[in-house]
Amino acid sequence: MSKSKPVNLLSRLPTELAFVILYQIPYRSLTAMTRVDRYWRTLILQHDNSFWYRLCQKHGYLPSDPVLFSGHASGGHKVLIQLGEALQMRPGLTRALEQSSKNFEARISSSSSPSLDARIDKRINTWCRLFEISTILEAEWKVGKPTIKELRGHQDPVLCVKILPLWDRVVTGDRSGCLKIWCATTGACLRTFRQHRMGVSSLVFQKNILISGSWIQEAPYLKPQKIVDLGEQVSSMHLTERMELAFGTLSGRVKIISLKTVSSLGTFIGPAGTYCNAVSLSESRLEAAFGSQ
Amino acid sequence: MPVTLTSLDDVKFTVDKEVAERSILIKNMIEDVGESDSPIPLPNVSSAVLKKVIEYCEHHRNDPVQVQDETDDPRKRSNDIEEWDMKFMTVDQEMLFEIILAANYLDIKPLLDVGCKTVANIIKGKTPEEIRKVFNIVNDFTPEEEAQIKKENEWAEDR
Repeated sequence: MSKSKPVNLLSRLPTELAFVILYQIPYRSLTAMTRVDRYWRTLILQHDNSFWYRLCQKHGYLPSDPVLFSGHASGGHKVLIQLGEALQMRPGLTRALEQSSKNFEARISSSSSPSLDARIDKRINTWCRLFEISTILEAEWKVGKPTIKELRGHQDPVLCVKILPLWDRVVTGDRSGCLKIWCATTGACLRTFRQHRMGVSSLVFQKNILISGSWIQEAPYLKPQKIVDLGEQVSSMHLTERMELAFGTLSGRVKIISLKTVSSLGTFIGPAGTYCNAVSLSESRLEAAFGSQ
Repeated sequence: MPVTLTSLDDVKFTVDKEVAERSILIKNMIEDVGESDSPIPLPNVSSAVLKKVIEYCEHHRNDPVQVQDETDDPRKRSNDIEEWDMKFMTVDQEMLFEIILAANYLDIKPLLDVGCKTVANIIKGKTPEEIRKVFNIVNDFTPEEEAQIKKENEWAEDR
């Protein structure tokens, strides 16, 4: 068999076989294929509901669902989830895309390439686009390294931590009753409070009030500074938006007080011989977890 | 129990039934026809290609029959082609595509998979121009279209 004229055999394959091949190519090469000629560009980009949907599934960009289909990559199967639903299940995707495109645009505008148009189309309206964006963001995630910071200063084991993103602060309480406030960006310790005489078991924060609960029956407010004797050893707390404080005690009780009126709203008694490890208060219910001494 | 296969160009090949039945098409034909000595015609496959296909089936005659399962995790499934298969697939492009088409026609899924993976491996990592060169594809984009497409892919290829 002699070749007198070079022939394009790849493009002559039936489309179902073309898709079996394409299904096994990594994303970057798929993008390269869309630039080869019009036939391949149309073939690859057109089969959104079949090809790209399946690729999203294959790579785990969709919640897992049983795929019922017969035959090859492009033929005869059901699309079991709508694009809108898929996007709703990945709320972080839009935020991540926003951030990634910002970084890209900043990099392009700072480099000397005036011909490059930095604006990226951020709409996700096809499975192809979802796949593209998911793949790119995954690659970024793998490449990026988390920054680990250590906050050093406590002499005793740290029992509780509260991060206040809006204030760029981290608050920590330790077993000796020492409370420290740190700058979240630099890691520098800004203030230290030693008003608790025993361990700080829990920290809660609402609006601009930080409450620290301690085993020695006190709960100083930090802003404004105030010490309230709750009459109980506090092991856990929860503060709602309406300034109702639920706290669990070492005696196995859960008490709710309103900080606005400084009055008690209720007391609940847990199983004997336990103390309340964790408590959560919402509109309609109070949940508490008790552990043994 | 031997089975005779006749190719497009009237060449006869005699193989064991077990080997021939790696092809689901042939398997079904045998079941339909029943026990018979008459050769099975394969008018879509030339002798050169059929020879290669039979070679593959002989080597893989004892493989477990693959279950049609597309839901397997691609990360678990090995993407490597085993060594014998890789050597087997070292053929010119024409033969490679003929094998793929024959495997599709004869319904020999493992051979189809290996063939397609081989082509996929050729495409992997190449630029559009390199792909065109390997497969003799003509670039029918206008320069403006090409520039536009390149721009769209800028963000993706920045990685």
